[in-house]
Amino acid sequence: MTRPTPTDDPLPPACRATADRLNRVLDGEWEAASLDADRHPAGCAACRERVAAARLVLSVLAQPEPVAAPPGLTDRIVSAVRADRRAQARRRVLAFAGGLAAAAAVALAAWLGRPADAPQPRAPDVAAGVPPAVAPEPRAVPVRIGEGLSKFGQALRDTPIGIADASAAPRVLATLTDALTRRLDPAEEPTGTTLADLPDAARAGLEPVTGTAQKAFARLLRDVGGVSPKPKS
Amino acid sequence: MTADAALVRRCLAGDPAACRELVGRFTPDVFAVCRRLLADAHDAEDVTQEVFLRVFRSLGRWDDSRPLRPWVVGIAVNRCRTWVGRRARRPELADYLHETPDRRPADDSAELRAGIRDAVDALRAEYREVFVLFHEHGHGYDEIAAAVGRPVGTVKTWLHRARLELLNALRARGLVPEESAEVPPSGGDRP
Repeated sequence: MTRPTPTDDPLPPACRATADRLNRVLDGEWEAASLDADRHPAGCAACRERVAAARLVLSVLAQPEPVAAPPGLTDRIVSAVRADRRAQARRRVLAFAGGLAAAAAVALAAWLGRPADAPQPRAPDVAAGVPPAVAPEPRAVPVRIGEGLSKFGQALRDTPIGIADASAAPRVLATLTDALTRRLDPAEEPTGTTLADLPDAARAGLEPVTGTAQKAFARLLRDVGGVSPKPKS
Repeated sequence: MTADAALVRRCLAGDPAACRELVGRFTPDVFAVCRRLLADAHDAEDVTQEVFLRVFRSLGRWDDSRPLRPWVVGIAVNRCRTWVGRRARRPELADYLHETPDRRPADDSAELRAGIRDAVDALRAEYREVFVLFHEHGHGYDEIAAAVGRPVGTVKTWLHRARLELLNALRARGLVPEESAEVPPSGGDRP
């Protein structure tokens, strides 16, 4: 039995033994008759009342009030649990599809923005005394968006991730890859084959990233030059 | 594998019959604890439903080396605590809404029972929880310790203090029979 320390015991020391006896009876360790053997309550009104109150509590607790669950509660709970499980499954699929779409977008951006297949300029061979060769002007490689998207779609199909296991993933994958690989109508097919054939606005978005800062600065200077310092009246 | 563990495994596998069995097995216990700790049948119904949603959401984290009942009851006790805190922050109802039909007890035993219930309700939350679980729902010290997440020694201390406070409250409310309170010759803690 856990005894309180003398400092936090709310009872006078003389009453502690009676309180311990009451607790043993209320714990079910001792019979209620053992309360009669305690002499202390005869001379202590507080403990006498405690013992009387304990007997009352025991008599009431011996006949517990039945608490019945309302009819139909189990059915309502089972329905709520099933609905909650379905909602959680939906949330998981949406989160998965969102992650997949984000990954696909990043992969697509990386695919389209990768540098051309031109060889990297070699470092000058100083030890051999060979003068550094002037790097050849990068050749404009025609960008074929249809081909790129088709390759990306195929790569997505061949991905080793077990995305086909998720219930909605095959649909998401099919939608994504069909959109990427769908053949364009001849009327929609662009006529040009190089970036130079595209309008300025479209070319600016498709050119390789190299030199972007210079171009941005040049355009800033151009735009600043075009602004009239005088406010319009 | 214990029966509890087998049932939980079937629930995790998505077996609807197992789900219903688990709910059916624990609903009476959970509802009774909620009803007693919240003192309101409608609140108890709402919280019982919340308890099972949480049980099924975290079923995969249940430690199958421990019994399931104290774990479920522990979730119920926690939800009741949260609900009581939330209810305390709600604005008070208008006075006329507090008017309820006369619920005065019909006889002495009912009055006594109501007096004990009121005295238990007046105990601080953790004392009330362990008292209700031990005396009204028959949980052992180990189960209560698992349910409230405290050591057995702490649970015993809380329960012993709860009893002492309860007995003193019954004395203060005059519910102890007059004939048992004789004039003391000396001693005791009465002022």
